[in-house]
Amino acid sequence: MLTFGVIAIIWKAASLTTNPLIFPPPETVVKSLVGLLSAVETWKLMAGTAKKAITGLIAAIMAGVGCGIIMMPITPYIRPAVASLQNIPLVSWVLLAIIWFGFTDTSVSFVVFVATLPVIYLNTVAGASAIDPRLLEMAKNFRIPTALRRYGIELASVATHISAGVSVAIAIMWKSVVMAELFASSPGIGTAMEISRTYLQTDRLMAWTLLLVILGLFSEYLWRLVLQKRLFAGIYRAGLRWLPACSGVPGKVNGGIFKADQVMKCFRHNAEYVRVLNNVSLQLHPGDRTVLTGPSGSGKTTLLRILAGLDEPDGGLVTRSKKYACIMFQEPRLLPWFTAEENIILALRGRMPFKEARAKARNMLGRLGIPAHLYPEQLSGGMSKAVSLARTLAVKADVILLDEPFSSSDAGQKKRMVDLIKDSIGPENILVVVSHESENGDLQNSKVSIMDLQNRPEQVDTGDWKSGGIG
Amino acid sequence: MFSYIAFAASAGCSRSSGKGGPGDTAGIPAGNIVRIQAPVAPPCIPLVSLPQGQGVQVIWYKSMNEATQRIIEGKADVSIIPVNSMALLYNKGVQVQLGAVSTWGILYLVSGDPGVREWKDLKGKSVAVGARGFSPDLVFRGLLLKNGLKAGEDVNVFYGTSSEIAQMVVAGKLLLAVLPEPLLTSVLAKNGQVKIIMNLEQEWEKAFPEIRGLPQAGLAVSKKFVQEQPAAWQQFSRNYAQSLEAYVENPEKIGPQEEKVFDLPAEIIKQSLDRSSLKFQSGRESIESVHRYLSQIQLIDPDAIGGKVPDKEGDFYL
Repeated sequence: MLTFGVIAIIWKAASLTTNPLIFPPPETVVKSLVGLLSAVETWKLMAGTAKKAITGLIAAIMAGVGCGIIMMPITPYIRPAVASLQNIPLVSWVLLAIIWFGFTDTSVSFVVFVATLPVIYLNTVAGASAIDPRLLEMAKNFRIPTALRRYGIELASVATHISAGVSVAIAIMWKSVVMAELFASSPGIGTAMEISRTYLQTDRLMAWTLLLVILGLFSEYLWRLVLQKRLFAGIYRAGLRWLPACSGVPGKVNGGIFKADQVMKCFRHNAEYVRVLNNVSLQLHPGDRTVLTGPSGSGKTTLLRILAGLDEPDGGLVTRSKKYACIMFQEPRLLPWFTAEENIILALRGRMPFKEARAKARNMLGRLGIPAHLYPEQLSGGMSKAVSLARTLAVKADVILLDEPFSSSDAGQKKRMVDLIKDSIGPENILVVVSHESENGDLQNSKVSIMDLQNRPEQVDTGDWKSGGIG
Repeated sequence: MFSYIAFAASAGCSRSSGKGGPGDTAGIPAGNIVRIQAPVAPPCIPLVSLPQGQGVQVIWYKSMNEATQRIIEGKADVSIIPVNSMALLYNKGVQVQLGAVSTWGILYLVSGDPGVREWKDLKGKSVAVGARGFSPDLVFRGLLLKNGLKAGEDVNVFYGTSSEIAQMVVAGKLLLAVLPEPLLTSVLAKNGQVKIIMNLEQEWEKAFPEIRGLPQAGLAVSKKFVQEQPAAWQQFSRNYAQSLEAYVENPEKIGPQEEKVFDLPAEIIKQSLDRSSLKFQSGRESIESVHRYLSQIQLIDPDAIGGKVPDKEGDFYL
């Protein structure tokens, strides 16, 4: 209020030194503003302008977000072209729109579209390039179909960037719609301002300007409110229901051996290479239950990732016999914008209809004692891991790889998780668990073999190994 | 008239504000130079060859905003602007007076639609009009009302710059438009399908015979200029009237000098002049016509004249 008061004083002082036709005093402008707001015609004009503006903005959001996500592979070719659009003067677009569409509302909406498209598209691609690669790896792990991945992970990941882009676009929208209306003579705030100018009603012109500022601030506030109330989130999450299940997941193949022969893996650390896995071999048959133990840094997680196909060994060979290996990551990697049950449903939607997936998810979460409607931010560390476990077990992989599933879990939760594991896997499944020795007893009543990775990471010269393939 | 200001600009007529045109006599002591601003349009043709002996600085303006601003700031002694704009400025407290009326009708309704020939045929149609708030707009809306049609309800009237409207008429994208001279002549030359269906001055005289003509535009004079240099104003108005009469009676005198100023072929200028009703009448002589005209405009759009008709007995009329 103090700021506005100071502005009013400065304004008044300035108006005293000039012709009121050029710079009317604030009280005259305020009076005109009140007069405008009292007139029904004003609201009709505002509604007309808003309709044209929002039409253009929605088209820009759909085009910008759609191109940004769907055409992600060719972003390097599209982005420069879209960025160039920003350098085209708005007045050029206005004049072209009149030539192409005539003195119509379409011209106005088109101008808003081209004015707002670049900022939305560029924000979308910026968000797309910042998608958490671990979430994309999770999608690969669960073999989530492309459409579901784009919808469930990529679109939501870029949402923050999109919403920031929309905020900027809203301001651009109001400026461009008024200019377009003025040139295209489309009834609205723009033409009302032009008429005020023609009739030397400078106070009215400034009142319209103030009204535009109020409209801009109000629409910004509305947008923030929509985001806070998560209104779009509800619509977005409903997509899990109506997106068709696409069977992109290959059928189960039983039989055949799953093995690793002389597997080696090195990682670069600073200027040195450290060998984490050194000629590790194992053979796994359907029904095997294996616990991997070893000190920290001995390569347990690395071995699981290689078995799951998420990493390639630098030496040795992994034979999968077309078995589907799925890993439960050490960190939960839950999608924060979905509830606990929706995180499981997303992994299942590529395999079954929504209702079936939801029933399964609720059943598993119920057995774990986890409320299905909670978001990851509302779950403890142990609960999050339990949800992650349920998701891994739900997809019914041939080879189930659990990386420290019980860390962060109390005794009660651990028991529920063990029970779920036992009930979820059958004689056709292979289970490999990275765990501490004290937890081996939890998997009793199963044929359990212990594999102790005693490797100590060691520095190697680059000539000691060949990357990829057989060493 | 000011709808074709944009046309002049788009036709490459890049007159710089403040630069003198023909008639500029540098070296004459300050105070004896008449600063006149005008659009590049047929009513201003007398300025092209004003008689020698009086210093005149011609400022060719491109938009009414520019002209209005100059008047408000007191940087023009005489301005050729629409009559309703003179009333508007006067009612807003700007020190101007109506010095003379020189333009009595340069507006025409053209049609590329063979089915439209009379006012009643306009019902349900769209008509493009340039210069919202000025005589093309006000005259057309007044005539629509007089012929039982309402703009916005019976006839869709939409606005644009006259140059854009002219281009779209030439391209066949617009079928009905109100066009002033010299745009009209240019359009007719480029699109043979377009025909003049109404002379709006004649229609106005038929519809409002009591108004005695269509006093569309003229010379607005700065009060300060008249008070401080009455002789300069008198001489200028005489010279202007003589020059105007000379062009009207002998359009063959239009030549390279006029072509240079208007950036149009002489033939186009001549045809345009032939369709322009130009006649000099002093402020006092035109009181009745102007008063009635402004009264009618007040009924159509009171904001276009600043809310009220200037008093006949007041100092609006010079």
